[in-house]
Amino acid sequence: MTIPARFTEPADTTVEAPPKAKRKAAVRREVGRSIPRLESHAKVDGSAEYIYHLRLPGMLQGKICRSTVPHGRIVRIDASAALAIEGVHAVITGEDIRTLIPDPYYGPAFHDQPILAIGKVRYVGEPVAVVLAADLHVAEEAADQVVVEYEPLEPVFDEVAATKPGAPIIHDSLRPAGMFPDLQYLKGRSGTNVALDARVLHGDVEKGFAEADQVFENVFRSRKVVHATFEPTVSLAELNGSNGLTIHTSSQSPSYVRAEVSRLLGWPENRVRVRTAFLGGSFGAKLYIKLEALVAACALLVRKPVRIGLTMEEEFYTITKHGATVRIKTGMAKDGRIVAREVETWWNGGAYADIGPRVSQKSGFTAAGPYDIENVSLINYAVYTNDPPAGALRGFGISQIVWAYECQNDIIARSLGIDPLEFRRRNILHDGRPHATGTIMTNAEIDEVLDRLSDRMHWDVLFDHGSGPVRRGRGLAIGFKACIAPTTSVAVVNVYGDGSCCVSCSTVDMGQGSDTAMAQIAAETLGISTETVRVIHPDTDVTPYDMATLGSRSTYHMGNAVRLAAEDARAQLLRIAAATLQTDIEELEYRDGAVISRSGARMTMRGLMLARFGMQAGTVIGMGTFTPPYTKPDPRTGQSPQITPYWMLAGAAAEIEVDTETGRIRVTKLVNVGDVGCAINPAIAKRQLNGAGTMQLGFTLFEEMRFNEGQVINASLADYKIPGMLDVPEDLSAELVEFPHEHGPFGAKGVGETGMFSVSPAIANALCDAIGVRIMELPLTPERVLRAIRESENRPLESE
Amino acid sequence: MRTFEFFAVKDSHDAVAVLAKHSVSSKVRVIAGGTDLLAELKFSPQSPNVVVDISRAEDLKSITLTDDGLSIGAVVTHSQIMQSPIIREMFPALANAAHVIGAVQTRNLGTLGGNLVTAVPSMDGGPTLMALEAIISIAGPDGRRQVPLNEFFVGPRKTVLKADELLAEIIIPRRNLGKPTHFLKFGLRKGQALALVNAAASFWVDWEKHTFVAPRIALGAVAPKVIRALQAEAYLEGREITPEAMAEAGRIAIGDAKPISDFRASAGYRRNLVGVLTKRALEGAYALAQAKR
Repeated sequence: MTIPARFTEPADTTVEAPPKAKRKAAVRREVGRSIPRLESHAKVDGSAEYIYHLRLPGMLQGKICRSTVPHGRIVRIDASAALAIEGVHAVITGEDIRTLIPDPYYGPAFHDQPILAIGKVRYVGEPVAVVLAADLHVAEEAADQVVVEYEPLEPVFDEVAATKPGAPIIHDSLRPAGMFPDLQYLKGRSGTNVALDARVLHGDVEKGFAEADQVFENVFRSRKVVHATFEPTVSLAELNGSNGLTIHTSSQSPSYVRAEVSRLLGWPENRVRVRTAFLGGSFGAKLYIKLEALVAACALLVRKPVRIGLTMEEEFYTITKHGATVRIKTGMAKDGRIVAREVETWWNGGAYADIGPRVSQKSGFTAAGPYDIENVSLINYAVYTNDPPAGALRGFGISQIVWAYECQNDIIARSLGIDPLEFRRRNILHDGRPHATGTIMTNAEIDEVLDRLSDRMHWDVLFDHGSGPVRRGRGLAIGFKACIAPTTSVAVVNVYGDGSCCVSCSTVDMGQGSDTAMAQIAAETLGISTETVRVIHPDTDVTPYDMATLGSRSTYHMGNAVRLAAEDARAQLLRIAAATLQTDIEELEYRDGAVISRSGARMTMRGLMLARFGMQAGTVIGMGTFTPPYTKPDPRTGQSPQITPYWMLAGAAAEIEVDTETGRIRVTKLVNVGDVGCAINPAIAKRQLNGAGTMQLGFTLFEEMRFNEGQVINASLADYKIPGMLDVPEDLSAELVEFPHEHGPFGAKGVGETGMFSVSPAIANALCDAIGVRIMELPLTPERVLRAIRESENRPLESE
Repeated sequence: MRTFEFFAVKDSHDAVAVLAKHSVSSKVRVIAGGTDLLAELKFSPQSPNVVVDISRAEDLKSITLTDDGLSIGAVVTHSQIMQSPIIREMFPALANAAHVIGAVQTRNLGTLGGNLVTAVPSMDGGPTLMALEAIISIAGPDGRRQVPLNEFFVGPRKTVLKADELLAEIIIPRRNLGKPTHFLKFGLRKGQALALVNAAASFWVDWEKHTFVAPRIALGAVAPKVIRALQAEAYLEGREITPEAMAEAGRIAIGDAKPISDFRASAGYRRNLVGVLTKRALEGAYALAQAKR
C-alpha cells in the first residue's frame, strides 16, 4: 500500500494520526480481510433477531387510523363504532395523548410533528387515531370504523409554489428542537413554509457571471421515492418496573429515541430503555422518532405492552426521500474552466421537517460539485408541503444535487466540445484547495476516482453507438459528500476472564455489516480473531451513546471509538503484565489472549486475571469516545474552516442500450467507484457500492411515488417497483479507491451512501451520448424517454 | 380474512358436485394455485363462504394431445408449461409467456386456468392462447360445454363462467398445432411487473407466395379484456410478408386497441407500444416460421 505524498498537514483534531511510516509498514491480520459477515448463518437459518417478529405477553396491537385529506381541520373524531367492535381495547386520539404528554410534538430539527394529529392534519396518511386490540385483524377492521370529519384547507404540494406569497401556510409557527449541534442555527419562524434557507457564498458570483464567456442555466427535478425496506418500521413498548419503559424498535438511532421519548414524557433518560436488533434495511427511514413516541404513549395510557408494525403501504405515508427542484447556473471561461456557479434548490420536505433542514443544508453546501470554482452562491430552501414527510434516504439529498450538477456539466462539456471526462479533470477540486465553504479539501481522492472510471470504461477506446432501433451510449458522473459533523460515538470493549471479548456499541447493524467491521477493528487492536468477537446490539441500558447509524459515519466514528476502547483495554492488560513482570510496557505485546514480552516472557489470560483480581475471573473494560472537530459555519455565508471530518468521493459510469421505439433503457454496464480510505472489509465495502448503485438504478429508471391530490396512488410493492435481480446490469462492478484517511480507523472512511451519488447522471449522460436527448427529470421511465425522443423529432406522443 | 368452508376435491366431477350443492345459497370460489385468490381473500370485503380446492383434481393435471388438439388441464402450473416438452416444441411462445408471469414461487403454484379465470386484462397467459384460438372446456352440472377464448372473457375480472361451473381444460385446436407464434410483454421492469401492453402474433406462411395465412394478433392490457386486433389481421391476410407490412399491421393494430391512462403509463404511450409490440411479435413469429421450415 502506498501513501499519497500530497497529504497536507493534519488538521487540528482530537485524534492523533499515526506516523505514516508506521501505517505503511503495518502488517494487519484482521482489518482488510474480506471476512464473511458474522451474522450470515443466523440470517440464513432464521435465528437472527428482528423486532418485527417480536411478540410480548399480553400485548396489544395498534392500527393507525390515517388522515384522508391533505390539509384540513379536524372537526370531530367519532370512535363509537370502532369501540363497539368486540375485542377492541381502546381508541387513542391526539387529545388522549395530551393527558399524558401535554406538549406532544417531536422532531430532530423542529418540534413540529404531533404524536397523533391535534386540531389539524397536514398530509394524506397522517396518523389521527390508534385502535388497540389483542387481535391485529380486529384492530384493522375497527380502524376503518373510526369516523373523522375534516374541514378541508387549501393544500400545496409543489416545493416551489409553496414558497410563493399567498401559498397556504402549513405550520402556524415553528419551534427549533435544539438537540443536534449542527442544527442550532435554526430559528423560530411563522407565516412561511420555508423551514430553513441555508446559504453558502464564496467569491463574487455576479462578477463571475459578468466575466464568463458563456453562461448555462438549467432546472433539474427529482421526484419523491421511498426506502422500501423489507422489514417495515415497527416499535413495541412495555412498562419496565414501576416507573420505567422499555421500547423495542427497528431504529437506526436508539440513543436519540431514548433522549426524545424522555423529553416528551418529562422523565430522566435512565427510565427509558431502548433496544434494537438487526434491521431488515433502513436507508434513513428508521431515524429519529417514527413509531416510538406513539407506542410509548399508548403503553402508558393502557398500562399494557403495545406493538405497532407498519404495512408496506403505510411506509409510503411515513417517510420518503425529498423531491427537489434545482436551478443551476454556471459561468464558463473559454478554456473550459468553471468560473462561477449559482445553485438554488427547493427541497420538498412534506408536512413535517423530520431531518429535512439537515438534508437541505448538508447536501446544499456541496451543490457546486467537487470542483474548484472561484465564485459560488448556493441557496437551499427546506420547504413544507402537504406531501408525506421527507427525510434521509441513503445520502441525505446528495443524489438529487449530483443529478443537477453532473447533468449540467455534461451539457456544458458537449456544448463546448470537450470530452466529459476531460471537462471534469480540468475542474476538479484538488487536495489543499478550498471548497466553497472555505474548508480545505484533504484526503479526497477525486483524481484517482476519475482514473479508475476511465480505466474501467476504456474511455479512450472508440465506442460503438449502434444502429437501428437500439442505440448505445456511455456516460459518467462524479459526486461527493461531506460526512456529518459534529457527532460523537462511544464504545466499550469488555475483555472477560478467558480473553474473549464483547464490543458494546449503539451502532445498528441494518444490513451494512457494521457488526463484522467493529469486530474486525476490535480484533485487530487486541490481536485476536474477528470470529471470536461478539458485538452486543444496541440497548441503551447497556450500550453507550452514539449519535445514530446514519450518513456513512459508523465505520469512521464508531470504528475509531471501538479502536480507542480496544486500545484502552489492551493498555490495561499490558499494565497488569508490566507490573507483574516488572518490565516496561513498550516491551510487551498482547496477542491471542496472552501478553508476550520481547524477552520471551509470557503471561496468559489466567495469569493476568490472577494478578489483577486474585482469581481466574474478572473483566477489563476499555472505553473509547470519538468526536471529530468541527467549526460551525457562519450563518450568513456558510463559511467554516472545518465543516466535515472527511469527504466521500464517488464516481459512476454506465453503458446503456436505449430502444428508441419504446424508450426503454437497458443498463448493460455499471461501474461504481468509491473513495473509501482503507476498506476494513473489502468485500462488504464493494457490496455497499453495488447495493447502493442498484438502489439508485431503481430511482433512476422507474421508482417514483405517484400522487393524486396528496394521495399516494402506487403505495404498494405491487404498484411501486424496486429493482429485482433481473434489473441488475449484467456487468455490475465496484471499485475501491484505497488511500488511508489520516484520521480514520486503520485509514477507513464511510462507504454506505457513496454508491448512490453518481448513478443517475451517469445514466442520463449515457442516454444523451446514445441519442442526443437530454432529460432533466427523474426517473427515466420508458414513457418519459420516448416522449423526449418524439419531442426532439417534432412528432410528440399524444398525452392521452 | 373471514372464515369459510373448505372442500378439497379429487376430480372435476367432485368439484362440480360441490359447486352445485353450495353455489345457490353461498358465495363459492374455486382455488387452484391461489396466487390471485389468496390476495382477494385477504383484502376483499366480500370474501366467500365456501372455497373449493381443485389443485388435487387428477383429471385436470395433464398436458395431452387429443383428437381435438392440445389439451391443458385447468390446474397445470406455469412452471409445468415452461417445462413441458410438447409445449416447448409446438408453442415456445406459450412457454415464454408462462416464464414472465410473477416469480418462481408464483409460477410453481399459479395455474394457467387460474390466470384465465381471474380475467385481468393485463394477464400474460391470455394473448398467446387467444392468438392460437384456444377453446375453453367448461364443466358444469349438465356436463361439458366449449367456449372460444375470445368469447370467454366478458370484461375486467369477468368471464362467462356461471357460479356452478368450472374451467376444466384449455384446448388449442388441432388446426393450430405448431403454428408459429410469438409473445412479447412490456412491463416497467423486467420481472414481476404487470404488462403495460402484451401482444402475441401467430400465422402460417404460404412459402410459395410468401404470404401471411390465417394471421392472428392478440393484445393485452389495452382494453377491458384481452382482444384480437381484427383490423390488423384482415390487413395481413394473404398479404406478402415484408417488414413494411408488419410495421403497417402494427399501426393498424393501434386502432384496434382502446387503452386507458393510469399511473403506470398514459394511453398515448400504450398505443405506441401496441404498434411496436405487434410489429415485433409478427417479426418473432416469422423468424420461428423460418427456423421451422
